[in-house]
Amino acid sequence: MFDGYIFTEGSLSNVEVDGKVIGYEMRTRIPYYRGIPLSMVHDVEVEVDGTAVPREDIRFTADGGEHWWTLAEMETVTTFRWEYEDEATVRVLAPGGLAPGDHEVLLRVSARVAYIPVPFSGEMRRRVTIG
Amino acid sequence: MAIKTGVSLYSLQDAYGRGGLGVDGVLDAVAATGTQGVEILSDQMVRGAARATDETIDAFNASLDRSGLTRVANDIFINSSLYKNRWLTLEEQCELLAADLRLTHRLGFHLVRVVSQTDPGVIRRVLPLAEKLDVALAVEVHAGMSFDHPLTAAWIEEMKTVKHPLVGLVVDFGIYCQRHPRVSTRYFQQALGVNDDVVAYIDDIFASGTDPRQFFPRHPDNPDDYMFPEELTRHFKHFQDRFYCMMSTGYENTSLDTLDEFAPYIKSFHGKFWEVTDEGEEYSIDYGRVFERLNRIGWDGFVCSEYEGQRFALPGEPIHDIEQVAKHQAMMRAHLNDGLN
Repeated sequence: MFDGYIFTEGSLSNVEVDGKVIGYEMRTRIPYYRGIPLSMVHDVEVEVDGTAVPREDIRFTADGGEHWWTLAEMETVTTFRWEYEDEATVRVLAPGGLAPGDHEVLLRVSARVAYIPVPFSGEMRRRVTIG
Repeated sequence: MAIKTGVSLYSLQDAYGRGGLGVDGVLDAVAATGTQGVEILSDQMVRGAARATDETIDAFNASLDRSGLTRVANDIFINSSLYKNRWLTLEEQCELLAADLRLTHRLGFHLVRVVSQTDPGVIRRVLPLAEKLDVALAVEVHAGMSFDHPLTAAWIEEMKTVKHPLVGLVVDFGIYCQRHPRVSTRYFQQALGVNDDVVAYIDDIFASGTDPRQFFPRHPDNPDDYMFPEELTRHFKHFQDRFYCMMSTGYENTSLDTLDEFAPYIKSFHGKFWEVTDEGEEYSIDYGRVFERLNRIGWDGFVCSEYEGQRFALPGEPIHDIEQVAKHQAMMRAHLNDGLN
């Protein structure tokens, strides 16, 4: 139902900072129909080639990189919102990034919705090629 | 006295979000249908929502004014699940609601629709502010959680006790379904592999003149836990079959007599729809039947198109939200005088 909003096609790339590849990142929309405070992002999960990425290696920004958060930090971010109109960026810290070649990457995002007992969630699996 | 039409921007969430149409773009699309009013979700299109800057509010108001559309309602949600480890207290819920009432007032609306399952304990606590701002407070009566749901029933009881012109209901037409939406059926069959026997079982329930919510017994301690009979569960091959049956309780065939009963409290309607067919009718909801009753009770207010068929687009399939809303508006116009002499 919200899967089509997750993991923007063609958005995955390795991230280079000061000449070093520190990891990789991808963009996503929200699996919901309104903006919410970041504390209501229930979870963000990434799997690469069938292996789940450790939760503590994930970083998240909903304002184009002005603020980067760990998932644990986001639990207390109750005023700053992920606006419905905006794509967020999910970054995985992994020195060297994804190795050249094909990978299967899964992104799953869920949001805690006040009136539904289970979080709304969306996921998308994409085949990506690192050059 | 007349039925007036509007469009909820819930309908155009995809055109706005993925489509990048912007506030003016979606308002233009709404105005182009020839409708009179607009309903917004401030959490969806007002950047910052309750903390929006004056600049954002001014720009949004300028867009609304430019559109020429009447401001019908702002749909708000109390973020009671703000924290992972606990539900907000009633006092905290009231604080968030008060902030949204002020936002609604800044945007020039006089009605907020609070989402189903809102705690009626908020009513008396925020009523003085609602009076000051002249903003009415109405809970959504939504399919799957309509009049007999304990929280909706509790709201109605408090509403009748408080008996104030600023407290009422927004009724969603999804409670007057006579068939399961076939776009949903198609999605569950083609995207999730729900089996034909399960689909037929649910269709038969509607065909017998009732709905799954009334048909399946519910757990005495949990109003949202449905108990499915063996003649159905024997068709369950994987979780999606059960999920389909659970979701089917979200479409109700409630008696239209509820309109007579609750008319004095109804502030506005959501003209829910999933699919306006090539024949120009909603597949699941007979709008002629509902409008005839609305005219009989002398309804003088809005019915806002609320498109929800976007939820059932197959992976990779385009969403025709703007086209569906235009067709829905034309359909409502064709039924405006049903039942009138």
